[in-house]
Amino acid sequence: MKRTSVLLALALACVLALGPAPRAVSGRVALVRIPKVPVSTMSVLARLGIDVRQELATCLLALADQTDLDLLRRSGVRFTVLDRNTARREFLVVGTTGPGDLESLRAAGRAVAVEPGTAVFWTEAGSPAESVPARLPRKALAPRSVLPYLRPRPSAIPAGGQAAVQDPFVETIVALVSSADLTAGVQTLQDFQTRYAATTNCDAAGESLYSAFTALGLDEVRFEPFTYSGGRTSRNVVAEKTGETYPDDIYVICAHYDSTSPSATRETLAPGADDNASGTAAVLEAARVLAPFPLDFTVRFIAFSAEEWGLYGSRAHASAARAAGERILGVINLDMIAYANAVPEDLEYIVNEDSAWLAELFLAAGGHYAALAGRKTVDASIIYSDHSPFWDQGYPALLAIEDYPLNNPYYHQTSDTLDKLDTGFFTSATRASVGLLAELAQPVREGYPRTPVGLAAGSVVYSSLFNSLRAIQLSWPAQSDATGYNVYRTGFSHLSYVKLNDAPLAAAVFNDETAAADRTYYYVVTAVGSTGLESNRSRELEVAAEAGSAVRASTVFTPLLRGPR
Amino acid sequence: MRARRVGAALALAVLGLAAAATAQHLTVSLAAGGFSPSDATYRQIYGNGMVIAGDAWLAFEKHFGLAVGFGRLSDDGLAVPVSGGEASFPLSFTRTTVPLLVFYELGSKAVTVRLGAGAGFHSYRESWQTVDLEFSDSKVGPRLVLAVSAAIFARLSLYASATYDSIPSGAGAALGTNIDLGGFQVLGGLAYRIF
Repeated sequence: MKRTSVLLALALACVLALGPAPRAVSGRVALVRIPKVPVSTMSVLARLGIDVRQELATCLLALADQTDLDLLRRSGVRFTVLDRNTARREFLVVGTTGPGDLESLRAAGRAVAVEPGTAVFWTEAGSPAESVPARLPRKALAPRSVLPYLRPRPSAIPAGGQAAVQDPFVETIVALVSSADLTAGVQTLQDFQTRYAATTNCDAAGESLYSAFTALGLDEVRFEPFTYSGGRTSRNVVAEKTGETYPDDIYVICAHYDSTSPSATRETLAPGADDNASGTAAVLEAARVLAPFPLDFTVRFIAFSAEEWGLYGSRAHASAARAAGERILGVINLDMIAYANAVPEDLEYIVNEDSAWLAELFLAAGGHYAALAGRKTVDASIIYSDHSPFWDQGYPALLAIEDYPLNNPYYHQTSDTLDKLDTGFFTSATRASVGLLAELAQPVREGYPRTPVGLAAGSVVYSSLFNSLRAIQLSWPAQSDATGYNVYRTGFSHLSYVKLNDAPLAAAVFNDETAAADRTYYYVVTAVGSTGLESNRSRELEVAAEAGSAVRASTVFTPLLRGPR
Repeated sequence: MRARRVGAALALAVLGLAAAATAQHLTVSLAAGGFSPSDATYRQIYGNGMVIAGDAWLAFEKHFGLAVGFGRLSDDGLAVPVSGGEASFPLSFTRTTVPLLVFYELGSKAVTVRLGAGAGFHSYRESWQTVDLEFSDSKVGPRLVLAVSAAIFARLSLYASATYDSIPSGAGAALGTNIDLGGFQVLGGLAYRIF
């Protein structure tokens, strides 16, 4: 079974690598549901260039014109047409909890259950988001095909594989997180009465956040306008602290600042203290405490809008980031992190398999910096928050949330107010988030060697008369402030690095002759100064070989080839 | 395979005994010396090597004779980084040779010169000492020999020889294919005339 899965994954990898890009659809376009089984379906879709817009637990949602439908039929792919003409329609994927929810949706528009707990909803005219009952989470379909990112998943990482230790410097940063600031931040947002995205109050809340970020002296603060749901406009607030070492490599911490409540009140009263003034205040607090510290990597602080309408703000941002080729290394999405239905409350970390390392690191950071317990859930079908549009664009992203399924009785109610929140849990969740973010972005420390840059990999071949040994050769520019270097390797991105050299390396080059064939490795390098202090880690370098000897990207190759030619 | 080899060895021994019965004299030599490979790749990895060899020279009438023997070459080397590596991978190479020659002998009782030509039966093994890599094979190649012995006692002589082998291996790795394992070897030692 395992072997079959590996073969199928390899076949899919080849098809995705060599297959055509999604074709532009033309003519009348239908919305179809395609079951994910058999597994070969994915590779067929990739080969046909089908425009897949959402991955769910058991099926895919795709847009398909008549040519696509014919191709699918000829290829033996089963599908169900949900709507034959998608022109000028918006579709929302809606989370449901039972037949009653589906009936509510059908009373408001067209709804089709596509799998247990999930429906697709649309209306003949107008904005479907306004017709969805407030209690139901929803997500708009991705703006472009997500199929390129539905690639074979990495092997499951071992639980507890994170070996990082508590960092005293990060601890001093985390200690700056203030409960008073957090509650003040929630109060400020709650005081706008409503932050429903279509209201001027929401715009005003955005202005307030813009001012708050600006006051912190970050490198850049900007509004990011976008249109959503029938031509409405709203604005994300984006602040950035540029990395000293890797300015083009970005970690994102984000939360949505818009709110909602039942339709009768949402335009006048939607305090959204837990959902999601809490996350927004935590992002603002993270910006405050990190602002004075130079960091290796760029950190982007984002307050999204129109999340409650269908994740439109994050959808716009993630899509634009991918289009611009931005290197977003990881996303921490905080959504509802302050209500405790039980004490002590733990934090849930929702990730897809590509992002599981973020959950492992978050679990460790919670233990190191906040005495906060957590629970990792790897489930790519949990899509109803701002992490999901990043998944759609192939970026690693994590949702931190107090409970999933939700346990907050005030969720999307006018009673979701500051007095219902647990300040201790809120502060712990924020401290863990800041600890993780600081570990990822890496504070630059005085007296330490600079963080190495320019780590590159190539292959080096040793030959005897009748055999050859091909090894991974790592190299990086030498640094004047370093007397040596250490090289670390792991088989699981960002986790459990093992030092490969015994004594610091004198030269800025290292050959890894112990790497096994047909595996993916992740390397980082550090510089060691004359006093023995070790720098932060370089950006992680992935070195991988695909089956056979074909390599992907310029820094990857077949690690070992041995035997007579 | 093993039975065939044993059979061939027995046949050779019987023929040898028959030949010895009709031979005019039999000389054995024992020598050691150096080997200089002719292949540049071989030389780059291993440089020159050490050889020990023993031969039996069976002379018949009209100065012709047959010679058989045994030789062993051993050498240590380092794998060559083809694209800039700095690691060190020690190698060892051994070759065992069984030559079968026809020779022509001339000279006096004091100094004997033998010119021989024939084939060498070579078995060789290359090993990486720190990595689990190994290669072994066997080949037959032509051999030319010039041997000189100078009597110092009634039966005992000083012995010297120069040998050329060609051993196209038909194999190779990143540095080249069909590596020739042959070359020149110059040996010095003693020869003893049995009868």
